[in-house]
Amino acid sequence: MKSPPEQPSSDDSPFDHSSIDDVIHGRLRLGVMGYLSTASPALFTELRDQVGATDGNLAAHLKKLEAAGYVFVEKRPSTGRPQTFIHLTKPGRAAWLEWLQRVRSLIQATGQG
Amino acid sequence: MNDLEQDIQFAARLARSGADAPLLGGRMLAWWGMMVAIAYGCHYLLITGRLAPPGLSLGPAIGFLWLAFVVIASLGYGLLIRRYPFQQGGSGSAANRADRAIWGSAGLALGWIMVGALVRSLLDGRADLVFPWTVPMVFAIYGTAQLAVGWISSNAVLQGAGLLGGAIAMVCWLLTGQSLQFAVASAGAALTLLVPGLLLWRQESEPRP
Repeated sequence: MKSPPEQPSSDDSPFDHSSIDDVIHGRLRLGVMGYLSTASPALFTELRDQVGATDGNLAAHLKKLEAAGYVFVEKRPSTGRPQTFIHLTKPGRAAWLEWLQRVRSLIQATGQG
Repeated sequence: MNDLEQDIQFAARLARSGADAPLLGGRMLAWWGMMVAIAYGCHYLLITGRLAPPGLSLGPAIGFLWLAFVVIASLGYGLLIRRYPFQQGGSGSAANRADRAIWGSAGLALGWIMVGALVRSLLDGRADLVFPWTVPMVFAIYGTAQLAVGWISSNAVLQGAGLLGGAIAMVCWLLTGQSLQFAVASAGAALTLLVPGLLLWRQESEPRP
């Protein structure tokens, strides 16, 4: 089996893969951050439909983002069931922009940019 | 395509979906457009003598008309605010947040103008002195708000409504002192608020990209 090509180390490249934010760097959490970057706050159900996740899966990923301080979950009273809104926080937006910058560096470092 | 590229495309598609979310203020625009068009239309009918409430002279009749407008329009708006379609999704988009902020500020400006005009009319005992001067101001505010939201959301209908609002404001300055001013204002409210509001409202239910 062919081994994957070696990633450039931080010594010979401007890109340091260890600096990628693991909290954001997961497909579903990336989707959440991407959507909230342009539409915050978003309803939990709206976010679930957009990223194509189940309630439980999205809730688990939101917990990780909330623990990192990147999102804020707000329950608003409503007629019927309370509505849950997900807000992108200021640190969350900063982390998202930082993630984009890191990925841009990665792409440039691998010569694809 | 590697995983990273797929993930970035996924996040980019979602970011675009949020940015392109439909404007959700259509029902508010339509409501105010309908109420303002009716109020200006009634004002026109009163000052031309086509409408004559029994037992009321012209001044008090106009005063009652605008007082009723403020009360009914505000009550209806309060009900609509409660029914703001948050469940529709996209209510947190930049365009929808800007829409609420711009129309919230414009509504305050319109309220200050109308309350001032009402108080002055009560002090004067007649409404025909002050109200004609409020009409161009009102349309200048409508036009500015529509244009601002239209630019932010790249919505051509609102941009057109904004420019039309500005044009009606200028025409209304020219017509100040003539009864025709209120007929133009009634049609103008329907064209700059009611029609764009109905179009936006219809777009809310269209599927999102």
